[in-house]
Amino acid sequence: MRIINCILVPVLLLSLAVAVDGKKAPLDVSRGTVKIIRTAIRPDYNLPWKMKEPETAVGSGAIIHDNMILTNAHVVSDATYIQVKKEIDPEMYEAEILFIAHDCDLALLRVKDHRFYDNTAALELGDIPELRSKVTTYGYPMGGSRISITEGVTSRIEIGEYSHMGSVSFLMIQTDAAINPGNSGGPVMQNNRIVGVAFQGNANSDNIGYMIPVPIIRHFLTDIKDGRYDGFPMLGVFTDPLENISYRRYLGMKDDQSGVLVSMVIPGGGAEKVLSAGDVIMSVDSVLVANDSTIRFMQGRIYYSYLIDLKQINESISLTVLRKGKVIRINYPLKAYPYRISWFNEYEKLPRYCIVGGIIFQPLSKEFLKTWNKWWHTADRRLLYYYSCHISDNLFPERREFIIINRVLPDQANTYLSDVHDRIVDSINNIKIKTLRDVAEAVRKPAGPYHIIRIDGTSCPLILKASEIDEADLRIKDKYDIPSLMRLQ
Amino acid sequence: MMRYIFNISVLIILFAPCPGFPAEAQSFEDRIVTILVTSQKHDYASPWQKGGITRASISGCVIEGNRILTSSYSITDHVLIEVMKKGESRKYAATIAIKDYHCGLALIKVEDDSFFKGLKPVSFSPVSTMVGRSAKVYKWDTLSSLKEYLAELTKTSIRFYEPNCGILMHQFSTSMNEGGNGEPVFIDNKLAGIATGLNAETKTLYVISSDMVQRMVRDAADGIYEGIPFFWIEGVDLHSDVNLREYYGVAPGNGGVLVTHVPGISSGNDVLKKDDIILAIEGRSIDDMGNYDSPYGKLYFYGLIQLDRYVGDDVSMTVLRNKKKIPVRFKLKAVPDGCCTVPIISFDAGPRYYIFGGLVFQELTTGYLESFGEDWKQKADKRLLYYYDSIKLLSDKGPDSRVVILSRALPDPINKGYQYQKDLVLAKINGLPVKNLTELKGIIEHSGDRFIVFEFVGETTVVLDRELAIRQGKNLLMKYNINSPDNISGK
Repeated sequence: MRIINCILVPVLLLSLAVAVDGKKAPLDVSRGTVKIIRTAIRPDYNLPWKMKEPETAVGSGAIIHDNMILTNAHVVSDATYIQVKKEIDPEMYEAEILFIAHDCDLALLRVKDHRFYDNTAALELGDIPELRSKVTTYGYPMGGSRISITEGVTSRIEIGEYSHMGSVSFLMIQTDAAINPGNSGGPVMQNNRIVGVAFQGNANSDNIGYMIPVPIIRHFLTDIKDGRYDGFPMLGVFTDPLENISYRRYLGMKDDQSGVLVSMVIPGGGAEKVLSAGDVIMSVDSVLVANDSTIRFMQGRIYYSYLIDLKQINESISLTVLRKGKVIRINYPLKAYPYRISWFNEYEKLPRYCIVGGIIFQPLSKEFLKTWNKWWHTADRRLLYYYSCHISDNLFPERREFIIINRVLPDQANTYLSDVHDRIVDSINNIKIKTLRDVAEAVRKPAGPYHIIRIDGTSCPLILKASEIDEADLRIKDKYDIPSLMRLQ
Repeated sequence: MMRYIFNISVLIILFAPCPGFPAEAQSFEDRIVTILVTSQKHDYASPWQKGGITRASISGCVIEGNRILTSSYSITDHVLIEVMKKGESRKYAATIAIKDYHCGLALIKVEDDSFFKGLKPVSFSPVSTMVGRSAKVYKWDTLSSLKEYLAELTKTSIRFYEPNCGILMHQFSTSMNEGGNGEPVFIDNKLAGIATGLNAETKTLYVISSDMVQRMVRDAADGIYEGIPFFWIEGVDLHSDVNLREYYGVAPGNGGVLVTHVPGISSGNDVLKKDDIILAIEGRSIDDMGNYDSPYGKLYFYGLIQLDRYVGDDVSMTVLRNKKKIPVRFKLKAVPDGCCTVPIISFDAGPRYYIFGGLVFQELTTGYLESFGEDWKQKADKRLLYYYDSIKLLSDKGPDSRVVILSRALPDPINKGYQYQKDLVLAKINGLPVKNLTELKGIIEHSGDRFIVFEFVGETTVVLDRELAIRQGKNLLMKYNINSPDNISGK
């Protein structure tokens, strides 16, 4: 659906023909494969009270146990209306989201109308396919409206970025079976079992499609057993490989010992007060970690984070750690990632904001930065630095989020500030701004006759007359047609 | 006047093959010279070697005292300077007498006095507003013909060459397609300035005013050129922001510039304070846009400090501090050597570097950032750009304080595992903060520790075995064809 190019139409038709000629199995699978049509609406982070145009897109899904339809999160995210359709049924049925997991790009749907499930087959989960073994993709990619079946082999198994939420990596399987826009969410089958969910392609190359493998799907299904999706936990530290022998000797490691170095303990994460910078993690749950941060996996090696990805939040992890020359065992429950600036694409959420005297205050987030075209190069430099380095450079540890002035809606009350934009707020009326809520609190207590807003990088304050603000807010709400001047949650 | 020029240009375009309206000019042939510049840039990716060689033909004019005036930005990183005159093919070797990037001008000397035989110095335009006047720009087009281009003065203002030296600059609209490299510009046959840049899209020629030239000549009259005084505060023009003015107690009618930061190395650092509002300089009031009235019209207040002032001069100001007007007075300092923490001017000198165990350390400079490509402000590492943007705050750490970076690693067994590290800011070495490369080299060379631990900003640490790194270092340098493990002098 997303980073997939679409020039493989002839190939697609060809493999369809082969599949129809061939075995019986595909028929069963197509009874468990559905087309999903969803309409979604996204907020505009630039004018945070507004929504963008609704968009409709097509994806695929697989019927699994308990009448649930497994698909990608990105196929149904921000949906206003979801319809599903079976290959042999002319009817479109309305579906609802039961659970949605943006980090691993999976979702479960259900159709209320029981007639939908007539003559369908529930597909079962298989395992991780062997390299070079054949897999078959079912779905509704672009280039036609009926089901499309393509075949390929398992080409690569490794940890890679899941681009739906972005900045997160999990185990993924690469295949050369054609995966095109519309295939997203469809089952990838081997021996009549699901071995993956097709979910993303690669814009820069042909014949590369990716699927979400069974361990990640099972993690999702286990997570929701308590009726809620919590997501993947985090080790709570940043680690560096230890490939340099001098570094290992400096740390007091014997030449036959291996592990990764804890370079930073993330404040607020699960490892706080348990691990410290300079510790060497030698094994995770009794699996040896090599100096290049990998563990043994099937016939090769993968990044050790796979072991953590198998865990649920609050589940315990057991580490063997070399600390100051001594090997110790450490257990602690894993927590979610405690971010102060969201590094991720966000869904099902409306932007939080607070407008005072025409000044739009918002938390800094990736969604906000994405309002710039080619944002990583073109967005404000200070914002990009804060965004990328606030954890590693420990910027303003007291701030729980970074509140920015997005822009100023011109009004007579702020006429001298109307060009101010993309500034990071330090304090308002001498109250340090650590959350968006602080903004709403601080403007209730003007400093004498003024509101004094201090921003990072200059000592020149932004000043509004406190007595003019209430009137201005009413005027701005009316003139700019803003339903509400704040959304704090 | 405009219409007249327009008509002429149309006619000439009909007859002349080249765009614009060059015409033969006789009277200036003995004032304008061609300067051949051979330059070699430095290579920040491989700081131990120089980069590509370029040759350019630029212009200059003769001034009093057998000197040739041109734009310093046209002779950056020069290796060889030669001059030619009057369409003759003979090249005379020349040397740089003064090259000042802070005011954008350079003076060139020619050993062989016979060069100046038959050449005449230009005379300078009087001080007055000349906006709207038409001007003539000259350059030797080929060996034999001096081309004349018409231009019209559209704006005179204070513009800035970093670090914050205010330069009086004229902007001309012109038909030139190529230029901005030292061409003299004349109004009424008198030198109005020296071209230092051309925006070919907007057809704007940027010209350093002859006032700056005269300032330079007077500065150098005693044999010692000290350069433009260094006034390096951070300030905000109050504009007509009534709220801000009320807050700071600025009376209506008073203008002013709000001082937001005074780096310790700036002139006036001992008397000016954050939150001062500069109301007047040398008795001339500063309006709310930061301007004063000058013979050229309104000019930005830096003109009062840098246009006709010299290092060692006193400057008096009236500032509003805690809502009270107080007079202050301070001496103007020179621009410190290699200013500043992130040196802005990185021409001519080679990048300072130090290689240890294949790790290439450099000091962050504008030149280093520029090596990320034309759009370096978008492409360069975000943290390095933040340091660049925070230069005035960083400069409080002292004049010799630099941002030491690991620019790259030259892959070798000794630095296995570190080979992808690049553009990291060094925070500490063996637990000690490091001011600059000199200090870094000293600490490593005199260390009695077995390991050298480099801690970088952003929680990255690199450790090398000191003895091993020294032992294998020589071999590594040979493999990568590097003559010297360091260039601390920056020559």
